[in-house]
Amino acid sequence: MSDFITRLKNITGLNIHKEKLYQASLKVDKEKIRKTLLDLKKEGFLQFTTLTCIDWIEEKTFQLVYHLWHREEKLHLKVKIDIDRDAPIVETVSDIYIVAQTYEREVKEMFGVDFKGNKRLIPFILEDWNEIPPMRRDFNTREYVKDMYETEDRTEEIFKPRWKKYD
Amino acid sequence: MSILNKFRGKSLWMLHYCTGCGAIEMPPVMTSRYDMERFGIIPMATPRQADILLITGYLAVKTLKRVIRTYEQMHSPKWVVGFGACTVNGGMYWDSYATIKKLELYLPVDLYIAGCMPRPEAIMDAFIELRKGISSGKYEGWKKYIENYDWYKKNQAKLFDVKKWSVNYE
Ligand code: SF4
Repeated sequence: MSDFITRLKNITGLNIHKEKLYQASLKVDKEKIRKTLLDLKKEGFLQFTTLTCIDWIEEKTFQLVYHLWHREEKLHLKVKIDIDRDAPIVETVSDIYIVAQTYEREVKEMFGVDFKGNKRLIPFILEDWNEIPPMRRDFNTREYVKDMYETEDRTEEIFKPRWKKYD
Repeated sequence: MSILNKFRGKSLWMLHYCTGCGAIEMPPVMTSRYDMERFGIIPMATPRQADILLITGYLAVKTLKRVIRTYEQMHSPKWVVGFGACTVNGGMYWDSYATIKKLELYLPVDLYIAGCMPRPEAIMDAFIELRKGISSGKYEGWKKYIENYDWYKKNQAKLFDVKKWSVNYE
């Protein structure tokens, strides 16, 4: 495992940290993400597992984490980039890993991050959504729930469901 | 009417709309372990031939649209059973932006089964109660839905455009 990471470091020149037995992580600049993933794919990271986004609202950044998996070496590699929260735009990797298309679509919907070059960035799960993306931390879920859904019993009851009573 | 109700209560076809996690309790109820067929209730695959709409758990606004459409396709008389805490008041999704909290605002729920998730015994118990109630003509949510159609539509319209039914299958 460590041999492989050392080899990888030498070949790609990337600063990879080993975290756990089967996990390693790596932080790169936003501009280098495409090149990095291309290099890593050449080294055998054939599986793009998922793409996640973290909202660091205090630091005004979104962190995107690209999860890759190397099957032969059993290594889970997390490639992290930081992007500006106020202008969240980054280049797509969907032409390197085709599955990334859908993950980018999800991150776009849930966090509002734009992916330049993704050909299919259309609405994903949410329907009739007029608010800011719901996974952003400045979206106030409780307020939204209070406005949108009623939780109190209404006085003008139309039809009250029954409960089975146990004596 | 009462003689009709008596027979209705003895043969019920159930459409189970399994949206939530509670649906996992349905297989034992339907199959040999608890065997709800003993009580004259059988699962049905299509809304148009079903009598009971069983909603097992949380409904996102998106699924609510489909459930309402399903309900409106069913023929009267029909009954709605809300299954699990999520249909009663949102359950553990009480502060989720995506799920509705009180099903009775959007559909006429005849019977709620409390629990997260209700055990098969509770489901059997509810079915027996439902059978009795249908036979005696106690449950008539479907009439209320027709009489108060505007009220239900108004509540639904708060969540989505009831005229458009925008369905995005992409
Ligand atoms: S009531 Fe509990 S078991 Fe049922 S759908 Fe909700 S969370 Fe899941």
